[in-house]
Amino acid sequence: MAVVFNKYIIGFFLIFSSFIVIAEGTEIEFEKKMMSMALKEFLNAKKAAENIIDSCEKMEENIVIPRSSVLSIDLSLRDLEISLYYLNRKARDDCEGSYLAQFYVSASRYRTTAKHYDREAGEALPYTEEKLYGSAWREFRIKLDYYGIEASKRKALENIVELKKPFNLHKTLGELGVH
Amino acid sequence: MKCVSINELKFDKESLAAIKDIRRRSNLSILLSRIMPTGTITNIFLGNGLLKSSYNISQADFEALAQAMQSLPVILRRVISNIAREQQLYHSGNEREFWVGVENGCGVQ
Repeated sequence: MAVVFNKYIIGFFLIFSSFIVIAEGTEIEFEKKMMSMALKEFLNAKKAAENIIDSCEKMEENIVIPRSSVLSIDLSLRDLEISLYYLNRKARDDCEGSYLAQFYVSASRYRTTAKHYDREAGEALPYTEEKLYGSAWREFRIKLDYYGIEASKRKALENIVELKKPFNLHKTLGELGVH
Repeated sequence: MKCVSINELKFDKESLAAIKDIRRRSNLSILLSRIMPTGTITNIFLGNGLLKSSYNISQADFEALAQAMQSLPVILRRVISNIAREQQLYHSGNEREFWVGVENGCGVQ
């Protein structure tokens, strides 16, 4: 009687153990799929962001703002310099649209998914918020300086069609005699 | 694109903070040390040793920097380029020339 009972216990234990192994295996597979999905989203967003940066850079390469475009606006050389840096950055941001923002979001989603499963998100580590936005205060300084320029002059600049699209900043600074 | 040499370059606090920012944000120094292990610009971005009072940066330094920048992932290159541009606007002379070089590898004027 005791031998039969022991057989049942062993049998039950073996079946129970195999359930645990299967469940663990399924869970690991599930984690892998989740991680793979997050990584794929991140890599796709990275590729899209890189492509748009490249294409906007190529677009601006040969575009130089002619002197005649800004001639009628009474600006000091310093104000013109600040305006060109600010408007160039704005035109780049507009050109890149939401691709870069989407990339930042996907990097963060990938990192947090990895953290949840106690894994590494190596590919996204160089793209943390601190690394990407750590010097945002410098951008605000340029914006603040730009907004220090008389509103009517800013409006006149912002109405220049060529300044709304990416342009070659350094060639333009040279063309307009700023540097 | 014209490469320039810069002699007697002195960094102010603002530039030094930006250099530290770039060090933190990328592996630019590692890429530079592979291309030009003993270059001045490599030492600046590696941040090893004591800070010198002035630097002489050669054309070769800027060429190595251009190469290293090209090896960086596009998005990180953009982050560094933005920092360099912000520095250009608030500096003049040699220091501005240096930051134009960081952005473009060589001065473009």
